[in-house]
Amino acid sequence: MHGRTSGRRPAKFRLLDGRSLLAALVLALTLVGTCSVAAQNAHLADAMYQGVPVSSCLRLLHASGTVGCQTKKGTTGILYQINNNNDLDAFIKDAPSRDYAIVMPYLVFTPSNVAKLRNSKKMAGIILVKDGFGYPDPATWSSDSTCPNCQFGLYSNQPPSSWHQWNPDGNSLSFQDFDFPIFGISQDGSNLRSITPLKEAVEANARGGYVSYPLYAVEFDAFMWAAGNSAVCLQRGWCDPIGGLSVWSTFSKVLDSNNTLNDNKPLIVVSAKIDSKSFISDFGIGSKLPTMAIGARSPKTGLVTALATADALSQYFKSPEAVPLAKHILFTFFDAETWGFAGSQRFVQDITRPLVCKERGETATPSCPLALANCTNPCFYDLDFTSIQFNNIESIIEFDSVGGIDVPNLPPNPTIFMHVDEVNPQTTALMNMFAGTTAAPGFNGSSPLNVNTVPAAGDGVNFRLPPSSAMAFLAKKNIPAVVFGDFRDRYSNRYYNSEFDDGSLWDADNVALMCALANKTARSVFASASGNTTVPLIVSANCTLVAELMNCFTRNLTCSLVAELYPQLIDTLEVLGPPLTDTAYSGTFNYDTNVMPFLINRIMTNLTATERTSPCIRDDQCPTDYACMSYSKLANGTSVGKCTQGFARFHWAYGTGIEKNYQKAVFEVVDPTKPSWTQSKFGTAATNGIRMRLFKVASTNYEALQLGIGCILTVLGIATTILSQRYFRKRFKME
Amino acid sequence: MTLISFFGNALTAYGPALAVFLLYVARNAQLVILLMTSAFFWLLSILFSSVFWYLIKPLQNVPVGTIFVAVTLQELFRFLFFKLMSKAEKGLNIIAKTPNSPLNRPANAFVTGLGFGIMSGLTLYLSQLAESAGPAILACNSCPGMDVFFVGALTTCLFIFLHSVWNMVAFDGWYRGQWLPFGFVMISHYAASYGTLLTPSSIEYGCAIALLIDFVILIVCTTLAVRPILVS
Repeated sequence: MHGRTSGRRPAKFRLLDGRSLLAALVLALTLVGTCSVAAQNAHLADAMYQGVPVSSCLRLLHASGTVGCQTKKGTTGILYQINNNNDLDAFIKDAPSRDYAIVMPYLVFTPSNVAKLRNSKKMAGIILVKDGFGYPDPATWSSDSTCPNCQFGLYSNQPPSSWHQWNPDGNSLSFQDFDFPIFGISQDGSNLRSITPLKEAVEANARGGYVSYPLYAVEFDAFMWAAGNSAVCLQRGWCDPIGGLSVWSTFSKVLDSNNTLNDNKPLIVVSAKIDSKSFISDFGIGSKLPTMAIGARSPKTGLVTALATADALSQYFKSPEAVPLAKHILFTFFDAETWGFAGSQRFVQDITRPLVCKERGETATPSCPLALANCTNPCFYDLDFTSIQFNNIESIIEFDSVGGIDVPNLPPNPTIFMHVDEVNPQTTALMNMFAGTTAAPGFNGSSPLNVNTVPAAGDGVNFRLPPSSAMAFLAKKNIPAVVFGDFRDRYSNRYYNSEFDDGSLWDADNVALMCALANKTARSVFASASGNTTVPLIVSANCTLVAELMNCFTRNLTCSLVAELYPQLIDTLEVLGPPLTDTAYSGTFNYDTNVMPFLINRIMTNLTATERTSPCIRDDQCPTDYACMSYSKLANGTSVGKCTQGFARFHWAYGTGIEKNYQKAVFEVVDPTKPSWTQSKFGTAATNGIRMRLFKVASTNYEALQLGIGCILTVLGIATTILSQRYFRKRFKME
Repeated sequence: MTLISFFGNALTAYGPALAVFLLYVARNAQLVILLMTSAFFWLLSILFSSVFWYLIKPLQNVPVGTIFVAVTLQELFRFLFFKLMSKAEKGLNIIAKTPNSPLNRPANAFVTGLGFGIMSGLTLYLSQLAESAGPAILACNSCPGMDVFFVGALTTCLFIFLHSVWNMVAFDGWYRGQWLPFGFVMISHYAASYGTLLTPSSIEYGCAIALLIDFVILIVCTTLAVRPILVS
């Protein structure tokens, strides 16, 4: 072997020279080629690919695993429409074996159907269509579990079989782990940007029986890094905690030097939650994608009623005869409650734990990215919450879904149920404050109501508390707590935490009911807090405000209330265009606020306002602790407000199983038994990492034909070259 | 799946040319150099075309005009390259393996034409080829069953060899002092290039007609190019 190799060396060198020449040539040509490729590809891609705006099911993690969707890079599928179960069976039986992107209504999107599609091995991904294809809304659809968040609730230490099924229609799809993408599209008002191209494409495919090529296909792009569980993922930096900002507020003096909140008076807590979720997550205003999570019934009806209660009470506090009451009234609006009661549990944890501020500083730090934080370790913008005395909390009043949407007897005799943990003298006394029948006028021409407020427990049966924020307080101490709901033993909301719980279903009757409940609550709370059974007439709920709040929160944020509190948002929305409602998904926690908590904070600041001073156009023109609000439009179109001092505070809301590690400036899972939901980061940052492209594809036969012709031509080239060289050599007798 | 399309298109467009290059040209360093030089000349022609295109704004949206300028300049550079090569011919013959072979001139003309063709094929088609690796196809307007990239691959394959035989025909004419063969080359180049406009048009089977035109010209020109060698 050795001898032979060395013997051939010179020849080899010559050959190498030829090869290096060849290599140089190929390199030069490739370089020239690459330059022209880069220049032309953008133009070509535009002609071939059409972007379709979509939202996606996200990859979420908890303490022991992952849920949601994953999109492998380069996932493509031929569009195939499945309208009902028959279509689904036909697809599984007859569709030629290729990868398909299934376009289907939510009605067909059930766990068993998803399993069937998955097993067919012909599905690349699913595109769920809410509005725009003319599909009827399902009679009931909820991707949450039958007992939402119960593993983190007050009864979590009891066997799951004993938990009451508040959401019996829940299919738990939100908690399944899918190894394929599920995207969602919907019509946003008259905006058909996603609907029209997709509808035309899938209809063209159907017309050709899904066999007449070229067919329309889509590419799913929503790669998310995360794997494992929250602890692993946070450690690797591939996740962010799910969370947001809760808001709390009070009419009692907190800000001036004689802070009265810690004066040992009893506290009455009035509470509601801010957030909900949907199977397909959206990113709210500015994303240009339809809002999927609105949560009109849960939690918005409760939230609006709580705000209307605060407004009714504020009428007393801003009147000249107002005096401090015998009890404090504390309003809490909890965010990220959908994720294991993150808002309420963290709030209760922080007000029950003595705060030791280890570091203070004027500037932002890596672990506390806030300028002017009152404490940077632990990170808090303000420490006002430390004056809330947990042990003085006398009672808790919470609003769950109270709009009476889809309940019988609305009008004329709607029933509001009062849920308590245990029926005992304390809770009965609390319920007695609200129990009874109240006559309420209609709103905007709707018929008058007789609202019955009754205990949910009865006939010896008590289903105890539905999943609620009050549970976080009760877990620490047995405080009388009542949760108002328009349901007795199962949610009236057929679309709990889903896309269909949108702003399309409420009307004046629901406004009248919420207004009546707010009125009743405000007056009862005032009576309790003042110790005086005669309540001034000015403590009265404003039904117009209830309707306005519902309209702003569930239909259109460019409303007069927002114009009064923060016209900058309307200016922004006028530039951005739809969607005009913000998402109810709390999103990831980054010490910053979403639109909803921000607006609630401003509403409460306005209601608790003690001072209104100089005119202003923006917040930064006002002194610290003042915000610019009560805007009115001048003749020249500029909105001018007044610097207003009220009292409303944000409070961090992320799972109590997660804490900041201040040495490493990262979040860590510290207690896997407590809620520790996280959301995966995206592979690409563009368009929130979610992209769908629509294009045409060729059949596999056609591709095989291309390859065949290519091979034949190449072989022909080889044969012709060899044969003609041989012929010319012979003909001209060379070599 | 689409990698199949990519390789199909790549082999269709460049396979035959690559076979000729590897099995014939690459065995002879002199031919490789000639091929590269002519490829460079083609690049110069397209550089000047693009300067024209860039400077004359009305030209930018008129493919008919762009094609006229590009074809004219390519043929001009074919002539310039012939001038250069005839100056170098003596030297080339000295270092050739077979200095006195009657095949040297047609072989050199063929290889330099191949250089023209390969460079035009790479420049004009490579971006489409790269895009054909993606999942999408761009349906051909005139032939709905075909995609633009595959038609492009076939066109590229034909044009590479068209350039080879055009070079042989034109050079043979110039060696004899005749301009008529070059005139024929020029006209057939215009015909072949303008024929490709049928592909994106809405004329039924436009892409097939375009390919047929190219193919017929290739057969005719090959006959014209090879006949003088065989009769010599």
